[in-house]
Amino acid sequence: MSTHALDLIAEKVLRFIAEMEPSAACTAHSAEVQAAPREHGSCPNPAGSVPWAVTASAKRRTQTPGFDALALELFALQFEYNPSYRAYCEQVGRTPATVRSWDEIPAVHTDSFKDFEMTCIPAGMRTCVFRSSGTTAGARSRHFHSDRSLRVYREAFTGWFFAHVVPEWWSAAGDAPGSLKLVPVVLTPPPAEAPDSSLAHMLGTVAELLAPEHTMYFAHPDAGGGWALDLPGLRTVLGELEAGGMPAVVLAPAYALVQLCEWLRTQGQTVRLAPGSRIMETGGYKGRVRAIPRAEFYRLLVDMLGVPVDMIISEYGMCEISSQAYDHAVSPGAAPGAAPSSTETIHAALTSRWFHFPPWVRACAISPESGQPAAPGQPGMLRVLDLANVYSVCCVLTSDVVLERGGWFQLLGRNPNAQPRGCSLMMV
Amino acid sequence: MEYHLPARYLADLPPGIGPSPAMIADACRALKANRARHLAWRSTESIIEFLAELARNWLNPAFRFRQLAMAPSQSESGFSPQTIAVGLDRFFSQLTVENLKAWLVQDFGLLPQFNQMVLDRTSPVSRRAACVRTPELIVHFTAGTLPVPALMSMVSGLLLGAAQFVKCSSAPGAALLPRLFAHSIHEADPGLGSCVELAVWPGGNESLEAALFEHADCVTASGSDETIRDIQTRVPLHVRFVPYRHRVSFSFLAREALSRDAIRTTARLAAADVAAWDQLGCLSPHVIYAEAGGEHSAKEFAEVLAAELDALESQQPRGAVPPEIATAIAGRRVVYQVRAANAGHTMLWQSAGSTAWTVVFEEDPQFQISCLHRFVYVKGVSNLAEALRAAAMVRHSVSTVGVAAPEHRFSQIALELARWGVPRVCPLGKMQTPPVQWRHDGRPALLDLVWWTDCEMD
Repeated sequence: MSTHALDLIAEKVLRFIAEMEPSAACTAHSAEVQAAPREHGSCPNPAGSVPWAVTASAKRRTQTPGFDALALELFALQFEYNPSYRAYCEQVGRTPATVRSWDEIPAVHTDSFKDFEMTCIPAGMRTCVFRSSGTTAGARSRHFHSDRSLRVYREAFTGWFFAHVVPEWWSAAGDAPGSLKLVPVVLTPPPAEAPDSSLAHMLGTVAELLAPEHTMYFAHPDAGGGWALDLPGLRTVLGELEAGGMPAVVLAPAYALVQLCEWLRTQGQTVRLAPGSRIMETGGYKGRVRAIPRAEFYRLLVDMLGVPVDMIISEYGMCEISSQAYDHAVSPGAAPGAAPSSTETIHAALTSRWFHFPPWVRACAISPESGQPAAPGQPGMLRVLDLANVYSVCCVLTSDVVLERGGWFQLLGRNPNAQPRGCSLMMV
Repeated sequence: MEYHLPARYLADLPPGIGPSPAMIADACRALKANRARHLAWRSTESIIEFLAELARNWLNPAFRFRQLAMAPSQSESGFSPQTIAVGLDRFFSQLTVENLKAWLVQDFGLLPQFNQMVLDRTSPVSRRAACVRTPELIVHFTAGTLPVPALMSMVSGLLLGAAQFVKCSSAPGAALLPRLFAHSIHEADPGLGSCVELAVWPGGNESLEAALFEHADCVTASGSDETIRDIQTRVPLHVRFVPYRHRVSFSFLAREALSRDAIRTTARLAAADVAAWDQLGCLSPHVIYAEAGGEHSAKEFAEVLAAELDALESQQPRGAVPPEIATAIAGRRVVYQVRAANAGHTMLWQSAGSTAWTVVFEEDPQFQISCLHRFVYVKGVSNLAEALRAAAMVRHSVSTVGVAAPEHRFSQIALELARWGVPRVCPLGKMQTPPVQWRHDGRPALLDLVWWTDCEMD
């Protein structure tokens, strides 16, 4: 059994991805969302430094040429090659024979990646499997990859990452790698040490692209199956970068950053990273550190690392989805304004941020009650159709509750004061 | 105030305005003084009469406080008015003079005279007397949104002639019914009403709770193991501490209950257990075990149960749930749907267009913790022993097992459950309707709150 038909569509998806990079620029995310009227997806006139356009055309979301046809073609192939998905589609009566548009393609919940091999890749062709970070004693999601699917994955994450975190990379294209003088500081293990982590793979890949000679990793797998941070080593390097005025690109899971900042605090030390430094944080606290509101977390980063809020970006991703969403793009050329520094002003700045997937992804909030798109302004479950998920399932439902507007979304966290209802051992 | 209730209790304060430690301390002092003045001297019989009369009022649809309990929009307490009505009816119909007396006699052997030295008639040789000393001030830490445990706490305290401070859960709507109950006590008898205080704050507020522990001589705590351990470390050792851990419950259907004639009734009773308080209580079933060998299989029962839950939804709708809960239900449903599509060992029935009810049949008998809000598992087992093996993971946390079985088998099943460690066995359909004198978590509720002074006379 081969994946020839899927390989063909993978090429189409790669072309689609490549086409989505005209040179027209887009402003920072928050401005775009605020400026855009209710009309879905329209992008205001570019003025900033992100070279990656959300296609300056008003044809976004439902109207991007080719998206619908490509999605349906991909669905038909996944229906054919992914047996557990096919059985589900048949059961719910949504098959290539009956589905007429991309928003009817059945979504599989991320948890089903624990129960089933949600893949079109035959066992013999799998070269890699990414697993979700297991925090509870239980199964972990598995997302299988082959060399070809990894190639699609890399294309999906690379450009979008640089557009938001290191937009200077585009203008420096053609210069020698490392000429940007940005030092990647990675708080996940090197990919070779954590081969089942999609995050480690992604961060390792982009860091090596940015500065192959200078990438440094400060996390390593520990005996317990988790990752241990080399805090003293990290502190030393950050100190050296500070002393040398070298800007850092810190790429990290949120809990690792909290660990670092709290450790610095106990040591009575702070770091002042050079201007141009930036932080990309992702994931939640995963129960490894105390849960703190996001504004407080960013305040910690500002205070302990000296990185201003407008140089901190949040990334949303998971092992079951190939593409990522970002809620902000750095504008390194912009004149440093009065950076918000109190927790309240940080909170206000963050509430205007919305996450955004690349143009080959459709994000939608689904009402858990009706199963239909949530009414405007109403929260819903995030459902993602990612064309880059060529070899698995392109339509995935998460249990993240979001507010969504024209494909842009905000995560609605659990109310930290909410207590479990009833009198029971609720575990979901 | 939105419910036209005077701001008498700390819990009546608008949200965001919580009490201070000084207010708590003042409240405790006032409670003790009020108890001395209005409650400590009253006979237990008069308290029983008072409670029975109050319960009769609560059963009356025209009763002002009952109407207020049903009046708010669904989002306030999270329960539909019909669900509240059924729950209140079941609770208050238990509070009769006969039942309350029977409760005291069950626990104390006779109608007790509290705080009096009473000769012990049972002692054949030496002369002994005993004094049952009741608490002066009980503090109740209540959890969750079910009102019944908080109401029961208040009833127990009054029966013992104790003042009480009830800290309600800060979950939205959790304090409403306890407040209404307290106000109804006050309206009927201001003296008794002044012996109760209610307040709301997020649990773990050490300075507020320290003020309580300084004045209380008895503390009851419901909640997670973590909550209970935390409270216990802060309660002085001489203070009587009574924990009520989180519990789960399940049902067991003997094969005879799955006969052609009986299956509909069995399903109706099971649906009533699932729907009561939207399955949110410790007494609500997460799993229904169906014994093999009957005329209908467990899977067939699941289908009939689904039909009954659907019918019940129109009479007693499930309350509105916040997005996180609806998301948990919707997510679980999709996961089970994929499993069901891929193999016959799982099947799913669900309400259309809403998350109102869900039935999941699984061949694997392994116990499953439900996400609740009317989401129930049906599993087939060869016999009760297999069900108990499958439920081993929750053995120390089971409250109630509801049983559907013919008379000649019921006692044997109950005995097997008792030996396994279940604190309560009841008929299917009655899981959320324990009699007032039930031994909560296997412990006598009133006895656990008092002390004896033994006196040898010679």
